[in-house]
This record gives sequence, structure tokens and C-alpha cells, in this order.
Amino acid sequence: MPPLKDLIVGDNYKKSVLGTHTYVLLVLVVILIASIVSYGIYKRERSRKTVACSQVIIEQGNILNGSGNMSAFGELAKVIRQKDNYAKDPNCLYILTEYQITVGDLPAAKAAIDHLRSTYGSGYAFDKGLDGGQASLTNLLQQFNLVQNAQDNSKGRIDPVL
Amino acid sequence: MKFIPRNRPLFILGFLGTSLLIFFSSSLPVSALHNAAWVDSHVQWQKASDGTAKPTVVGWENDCTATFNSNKSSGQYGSQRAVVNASAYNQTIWITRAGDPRDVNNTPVTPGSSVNMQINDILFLCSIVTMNPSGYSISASHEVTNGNYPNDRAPVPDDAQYDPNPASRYESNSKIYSATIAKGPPGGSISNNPTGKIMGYKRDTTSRYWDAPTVPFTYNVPAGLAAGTYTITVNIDYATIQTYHDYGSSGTSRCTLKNGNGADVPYGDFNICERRTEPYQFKLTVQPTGPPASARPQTTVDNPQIAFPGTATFTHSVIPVSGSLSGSNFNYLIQRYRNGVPTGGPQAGVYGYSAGGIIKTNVYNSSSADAGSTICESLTLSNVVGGTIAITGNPSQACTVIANQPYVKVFGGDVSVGGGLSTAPNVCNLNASAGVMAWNLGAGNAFAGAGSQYAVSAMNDITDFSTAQGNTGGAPAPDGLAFADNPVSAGTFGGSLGYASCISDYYSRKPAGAAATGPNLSSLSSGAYAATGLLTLNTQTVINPGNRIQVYVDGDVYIQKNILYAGAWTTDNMPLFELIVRGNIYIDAGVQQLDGAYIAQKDTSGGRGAIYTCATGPSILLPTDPAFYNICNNKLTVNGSFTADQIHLLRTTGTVANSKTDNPTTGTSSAGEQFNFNPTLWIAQPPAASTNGTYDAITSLPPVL
Repeated sequence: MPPLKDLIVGDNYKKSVLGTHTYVLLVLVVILIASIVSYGIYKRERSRKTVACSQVIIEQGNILNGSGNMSAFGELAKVIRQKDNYAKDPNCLYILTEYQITVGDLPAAKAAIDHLRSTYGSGYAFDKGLDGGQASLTNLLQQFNLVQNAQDNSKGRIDPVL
Repeated sequence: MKFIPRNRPLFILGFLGTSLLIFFSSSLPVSALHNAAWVDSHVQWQKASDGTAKPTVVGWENDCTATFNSNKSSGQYGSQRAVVNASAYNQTIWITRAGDPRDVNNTPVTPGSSVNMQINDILFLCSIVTMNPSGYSISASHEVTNGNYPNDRAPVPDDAQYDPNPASRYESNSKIYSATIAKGPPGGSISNNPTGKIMGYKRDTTSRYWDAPTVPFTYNVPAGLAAGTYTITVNIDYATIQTYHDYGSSGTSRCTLKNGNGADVPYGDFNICERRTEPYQFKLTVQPTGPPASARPQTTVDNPQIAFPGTATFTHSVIPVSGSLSGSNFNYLIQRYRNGVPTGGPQAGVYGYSAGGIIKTNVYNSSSADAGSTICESLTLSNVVGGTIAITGNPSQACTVIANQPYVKVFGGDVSVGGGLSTAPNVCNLNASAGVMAWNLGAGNAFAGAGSQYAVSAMNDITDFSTAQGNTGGAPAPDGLAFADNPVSAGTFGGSLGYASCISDYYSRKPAGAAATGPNLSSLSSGAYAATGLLTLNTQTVINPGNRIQVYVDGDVYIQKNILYAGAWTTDNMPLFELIVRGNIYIDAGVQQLDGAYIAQKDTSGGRGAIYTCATGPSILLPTDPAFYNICNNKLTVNGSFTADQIHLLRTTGTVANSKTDNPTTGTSSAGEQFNFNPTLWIAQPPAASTNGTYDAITSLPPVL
């Protein structure tokens, strides 16, 4: 039988080791919980979209862009710009970009397309009410290119000798 | 023969820019074709950001110079000539209103009009000065003057063979394969289509502007197009052949082939050349004619009342009030309500008006939970941004009531209608209008719903009330036991027999010694009893085994509680209860079971004689009472029969949709009123009957009527 002192030391040692393990375990649990909570908040924030443009506005934008009615489109653009947080709603920005393309303000349109790409990514899924369900940065760029070509054509092209 | 003699030295300097234009237009005598006025009137004008406009030619010059400089410094061209060749011409094609190549007059057009347009094509000569390669000096013959523009692409400017620098490009022709609208108001179209036409210019030795004859076409503005300025994009698909002058007997025409390489081609052989599709835009300002249009919303429903399962279709439309709505757009907002409370989110959107003006149709499918509910839909219209339609009558609304379709079921017995009260044996007035009308699910559901297990005879039609229900192997539903068994059509299951049995004058059989009775019938023993005036049976009546009680009432009866036969009895001691009333019988809404025979005859004045299966007192409860549905939502089971001048079946519980599981064998149904005719009514003879013997045997023989 070991001396009483050793036993006492041994008990203290065991208690000490046990305490350390408990502490480490506790810290790990806290870190784990914090991570889960943080990830949850991150996911929630990421999925939370700013909606400034209603479906009615989206549908109007779709119609006006399709018809090329610059006058009415301009009115709609004003309405959108008066909304809070329109600049954080990608669908609002999409409509405004289409308006800029329609009226031929291509530098502004190009900047808007670049902003959408850098902020939301090339594959962002815009509202299905836009462009008859085909809204995408690719589609926006195609519209841009069409008007860019038309503008270039109207300005004249250097026609080299064949 | 070489197209371009690349082994010959060439030095050309394209140094000029806008200054030359000024020089040429102001310092020299000019011909009618290329003076400033000509330029101003023949080229497109561009609007600057400050709102001013100037001919595009300024831009052309700048482009020429910039391209030349760029080519010169790029190092990708092997010779001065190649540098200039790559910046030789500036071609512009644009679309304008007919006769307005400057594109400054955007005179408003009206919806539905045809607008004459034209395709303009001008080649602007970039390089107009060549230099003597030996000394970089400009010879007089090479100098560009008003009447001398010879040097645009001379292959060897100072070579005597070509002196005095014969023109390089002579002609350009583009064959148009199609002109289609790439973007613009829906419904816009092109007529007088330029497809197949040749658009081209020829060298003009007196000018730097080689003007092509315009190519006309017509743009048709959609009818009813809303006011505004529209940008319309037209894709023109064409192939071009350039013809170069004085290169010899062959190879003077060239184009870019479909494989992308330049090559000599036969003059006019466009088919082998590359085709290009290029977009061109023009603007139109649309100004509707006539007074401003006005419109109103309209909501309709096809069925203002439905059962379950059932459907009601709501149709939401825009109705023109004045003017034309063609081409107009509306914001719409559709909201559904259940009992006045919005249910679900609104449907909102933009509607582009078209013939009929139907915005949306919504189908409502009812369920059992909807019973008693009112479902409405409303439509609110508003102008889209920039819209000018006057809108009145907001909102429109239509409703449908989801109602039970309660029905009646007769097990073990028949139904007969049309017979009057006998005035003598087999003598009575028949009611030719008396028919049976109820709700039945029809052939698709084996004629479940209202009906009788056995026969029905009627003076008039039997409508949606089946006979022979649950009869397997015998006469089939719905008309197998109908009298008359006329052909089934459109919910009519027979009837129109032309004859009906008269109703016996039961009250006349009241024994002279009938004892007076009050409301407590349970305490009565067998015998005939009588009462006068209103009799209210306000306690539950239990007819004990062996008791055969007849109650004659000269007045109305209000049955407030159930009337039941006591539970245990045999054929030897069957109970019997007959209530013979010369007046009306009102059955309280809370009554669920009545055993016996209930007879209501007309009173001495010829009025009354009706049985009401739902009441809250000795008076008629009208179905129009708002509480009617809830009050009468109890099933009434009659183990016996009703005989009356009129029977008002008023119970609201159950609905025909749930009748498919009705079972005559077990005597179960979802009917509001269920009659179970049974042998107690004829085995147990009333106490005053002349025959009062006992039965030795009982059997059922056909026909089961």
C-alpha cells in the first residue's frame, strides 16, 4: 500500500489532469458552438436579400425593356431610384442597366454590368420575371453588345481595302 | 494579274483631319455634291452630350486619322501602302425616316401607322493625298482638290502605268438578305421589305462622299402603342462585294469569302461571299390620336354558389370604357378573400391589353372545410409608370358561396308525390306540378346522393333523385323503379306518371272517444288521444314496447325533442306511434330521431298541412336567415314515414359529395334527412284497426314496392 502522502499527491495529480482535460474539452465545445452559431448567422445573412423592386416593377421593367419605350422606361428608372436600398437589390440594378442600354448610355451600362459581376458573381440568378426568365449577366452583355454594335455602325466603320 | 502589287514601293501620307474638311468646304469652289450644305443635309447628325448636334462627318475624319496613326505605329503592316489600305475608307450605314438622312426630324407618328423609312449608305474617303515615294513631296496631280480625288488607293501612285493614280475602289454593292426587327415594341413589323435589294455606291471623282441611293422600307407601328419614344433595332443581313477599278481584266471584284479569306469574285456573285448581320437603330416618337382611353376592372365568377368538391372560376378583365386600349399596359392586383378576410398574398403584375381584356382566370377548388364560406376575389387596376389610361370602378369583385348540398335518403320504402287528400275513396285532386328535385352525383358515381332504395312515383319530373339505390341485380338506378320510367336525360330520372295515390284522410279516423293529451306522451298507454291548438312536445317521448299510440291534433305541433321507440321489443309487442295533425308539424332543429308515422293534413280552411324538418319554434324558419345553416346542421333520422301536403326538408348537414359511402344495408348515409321505412308501420296495427290479430309468418315478396 503506498504511503498516504503519495496517495494524496496522486489524487491531486489525477484531479489536475482531469481538470486540464475538462478545461480543454470545455474550450473545444465553446469553439464548436461559436463556429456553428457563426456559420448559421453567416448563412442567414448571405441568404437574406434586399428586395426593393417588387414583382410589379420587375414585370414593368421586363415589358419596357422589350418594347424599347425609352420614355416610360425613364419614368420607371426614376421610381426605382427613389426606393430605399435599390442599389442593394440586384434585380433593381438589372432593370436600371437595361434602361441604360436602351437609352444608349453604354459607359454607365458597362460600369453597372461590371458592378453586378463583381458583387453577385457571373452566375447570379436574377428574378425569373426579367427578360422572360432568361435574365443573366450573359444576357445583359448580349444586349449591351447589340447596342454597342448599333452605335458603332451609326458612327461609321473604317472599311479597309480587301 | 496581281490584286495589289506588294513588291512595289509606296509611300502615302494620310495627314489630314478636320482641317482638310474645312479647307475643302470653304476655300475651294465646290460642286453641288460636296459642299458644306450637301454634307449637312446628307449625313447623319449626332447629338453631343451638351445637346448640340453636328454632322457625323467630324467623327469620320477623326476616326480616319486615328486609324491611320494607329496603323502606322502598330508595325503590323509591311508597307506604307498597307498602312493606308487599312485605313482607306469610312463607311456608314444608318436608318432614318424617309427623306431625312440627317435624322433630325422625329415627327411623331400614330399607333397603327406605316412609317416610311430608308437605309442610308455613305462612304467617306479617308486617305485623299498620296506622296511621291521618291521625295515625299506632293505632286499637283496627286493633290486632293475639289475636282481631283484620285489617290484614295492607287496601288502605285507615281507609277506611270497608273498615272494619274487611277482610283482604287470603284464600286461597292451589298445584297440585303433580310431586315428583321431585333428589338422594339411588340407587334411592330416591316413591310416593303428590302430583302433582295442591292445597296451600293459608286465612285464619285468629285467628292470624298460617295453616296449610295437610299433603300426604302416601311415600319408598321403597332396599333394602340402607348405614347413614348421608342428605340427600334433592326438587324440587316447582307453580303458585300467591292469592285476595284482599273486593275485589269480580271479580279476587279473582291469580297471576304465565307471562310474569312479575301478573294477575287465574279461581279455580283454575292452567294459565295460572307454574310454579316449588323444591328441598326432608329427612334420613333409615338403620339396616340383621339381622346384619352378609359377602362374599368371587371371580375366575374361562373358559379355564384358551389358545393364541395366543386369549382368556381373567377375571371378578371379590363373593360374598355372609352377610346382604344390596344397596346396599353396596366398594373393589376388580385386579392382573394374568405368571409371578407384576405387569404393568401395578392397576385400582382403588369397586363398588356389584348382583345377580350382577360388578365387572369383563377379556379377555386372547394373543400369540405369551406362549407358555409364566401370566397371572393377582387381586381384593382392602376396605370403603369407613364400610363395615361383613366381607370374607374376600382376594385371590382365577385363572390361564390361554398354551400353544402344536403340531400334526402329513403331506405326501405318508396316516395310518392302529387296525390291530394282524399275527399272520397280514391278521389282527390292531383298536383300535376308535383315532382322530386334533389342533388345526385350522377352516373359517374353510381347515382349516389339523394334517392330511394325502392320506388318513386311522381306526377312531374324526378330530377336528381335516384330510385333503386343499392339494388344489386334488379332494377338499376337511377330510373329502374321510377314511375314513370321515362328515359334518363339531363338529371331527369323518370317521372311524369300522370297518376298518384290519394292521401287518406287520416284525421277523419279520429275515434270519437279519443282522450285529451298534453305534451307528455311517454306516459300514455295504447290508445287514441287528441289535442286542439298548438301542441308542443317539449320532452323526449319514448314509446314503450307494446304501446300503440295515436295522437290527433287539430292545430300545429312543435316537436322539440326526439320521439323514440324504446330499445327492446319483438314482433309480439311492437310499439307504434302515429301523429296525425290537421295543421303543420314543426320539428325542432335539435331533434335527431323520430320513430313512427307523422301525418300533416290541411286544416279545415284548406291551409297548412306541411311538415318542416327544421324549426326553432312553431313557426317557419326561413332559409334566408343568416343563422339558418348553423341552426339546421343536425341530421334527422325518421324511422317511419312522413305524409303531408308539403314536406320541407330543411336540414343542412351533410352534402351530396359525401354520399358515395351511403349504405342501405347498414342504413348509414350522409343525408340531412334519412327515412328508414320499416315493418313496425304495418305489422303493428293501430289500436282502432278493425283487424287486431296476430301474425303467423312474415315474408317479403316481389315487387319490392
